[in-house]
Amino acid sequence: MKSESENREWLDEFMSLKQVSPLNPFTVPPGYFDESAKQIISAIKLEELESGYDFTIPQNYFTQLSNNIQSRVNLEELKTGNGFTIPQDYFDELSISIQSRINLEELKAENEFSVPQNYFDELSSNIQSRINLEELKAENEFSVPQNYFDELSSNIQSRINIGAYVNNEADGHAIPQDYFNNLEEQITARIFVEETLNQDESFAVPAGYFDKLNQAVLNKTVNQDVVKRKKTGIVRRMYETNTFKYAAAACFMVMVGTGLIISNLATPTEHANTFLHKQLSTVSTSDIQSYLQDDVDANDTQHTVIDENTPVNTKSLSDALQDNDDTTN
Amino acid sequence: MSVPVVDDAEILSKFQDEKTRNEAFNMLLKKYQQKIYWHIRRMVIDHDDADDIAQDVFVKVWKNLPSFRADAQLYTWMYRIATNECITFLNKKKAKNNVSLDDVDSSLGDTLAASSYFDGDKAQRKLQEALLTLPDKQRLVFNMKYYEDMKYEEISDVVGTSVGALKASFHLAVKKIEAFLLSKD
Repeated sequence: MKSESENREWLDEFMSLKQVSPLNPFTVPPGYFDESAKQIISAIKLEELESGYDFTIPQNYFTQLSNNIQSRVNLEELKTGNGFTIPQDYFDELSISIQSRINLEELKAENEFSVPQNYFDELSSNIQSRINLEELKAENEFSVPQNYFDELSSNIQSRINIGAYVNNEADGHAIPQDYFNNLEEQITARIFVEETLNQDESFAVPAGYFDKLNQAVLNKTVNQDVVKRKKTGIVRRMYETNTFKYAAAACFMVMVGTGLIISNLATPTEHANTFLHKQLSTVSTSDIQSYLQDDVDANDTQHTVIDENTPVNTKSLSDALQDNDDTTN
Repeated sequence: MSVPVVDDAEILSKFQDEKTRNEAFNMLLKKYQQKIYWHIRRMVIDHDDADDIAQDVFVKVWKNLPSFRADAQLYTWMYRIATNECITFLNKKKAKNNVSLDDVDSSLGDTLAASSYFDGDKAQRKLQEALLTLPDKQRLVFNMKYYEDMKYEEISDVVGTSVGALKASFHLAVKKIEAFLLSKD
């Protein structure tokens, strides 16, 4: 600032103003400025105290305030309008729904499931191992016959029943030792015997043939020589029952057949000691020939004493008897 | 005006430090308190009004001094604050009383006449009455030039008006005052 003397030159143009003293005509109370400084300091401290309790606002709060208010007004208008609807009694049930939800969440929190330690860390590797195992199984899949599983239960039941039957000694169904080991041989032998016996069924005889045969033979042999036989010894009745007759006939046929087979395979055996020869030795050849001519047809001896390829007639029979009659030898 | 005892830079430096802030502000008060007060007092005439405004000005200085830019002079910055406070006060007073400018001047004249803190002679009182006939801004410029002997550049920094406009305004104000003084003789 310049000194007053330097700035007073302009007053020369204004004489009336120049006559007025430039000193400050105003005064202040005594000690005012000392008190004023204290008052200013006090005012500043008071201001600081007041500013310490000032509320703070976010930056640009007032700049954005009008926009925020307008947005809020628009939102409220939308709410109060018919834009949104709520279910009936929504607000009445809202508190109950919220409380239920809170209870449910608390229950969930209490019953929280737990997993083993490091479960989730090992989960991926476990899943991969399981996948590999399943793939390996799929590649080496075994196959079963068709309808295997459908029939499996019945098969198992049958097997169980057989096992129970075989092993059930407590029920009294015991079998001899090594029964099953010899079973096949026994069955084979049984079949052979049955077949041999049943061969007789291929021959047919007239009804009551054997009765007549027995009677005829007895009449022509035993009954005629009853006195002679009484003299020579005990006469045994051969045909006391039908069973014995049949058995005797069967045995005769078997023996004849067997003799023929053996005679073809080996040297002829001596038959002088057989019961049949002994019995027939007492019958003359002529009687047998007459018997056969009267009571035996070609079928009776077709498979026994005469070759089936040889025609049956008186001559052939005579030859056969001559060949087999030990008495003539 | 007397040369400041304490440099403004030292005051500002101490004010930046939290520990020496109060000390710096006390130094600032001692240096500029009376200048600011008289600047206000010549505008509002009444001592109590000047006292209130002066306290408000220094409170604002305290608040805004941390953001003060060093490229401006400290005292012109405080004068600007005080000038704005005075203009605001006078405008509020006009609006509050709902009176015309002439009535305001009359009110200030009554205040001047009733004030116990006016020790001027007849010529000084007449000058103050002449000043009250000027617009606030012309009165403001005249006071800073006549009583405080400030340069136009400094006044320009305070009121925010160009130097040329200030010169024109000042000469116009002086002519009005001269005319007032001659008419009342």
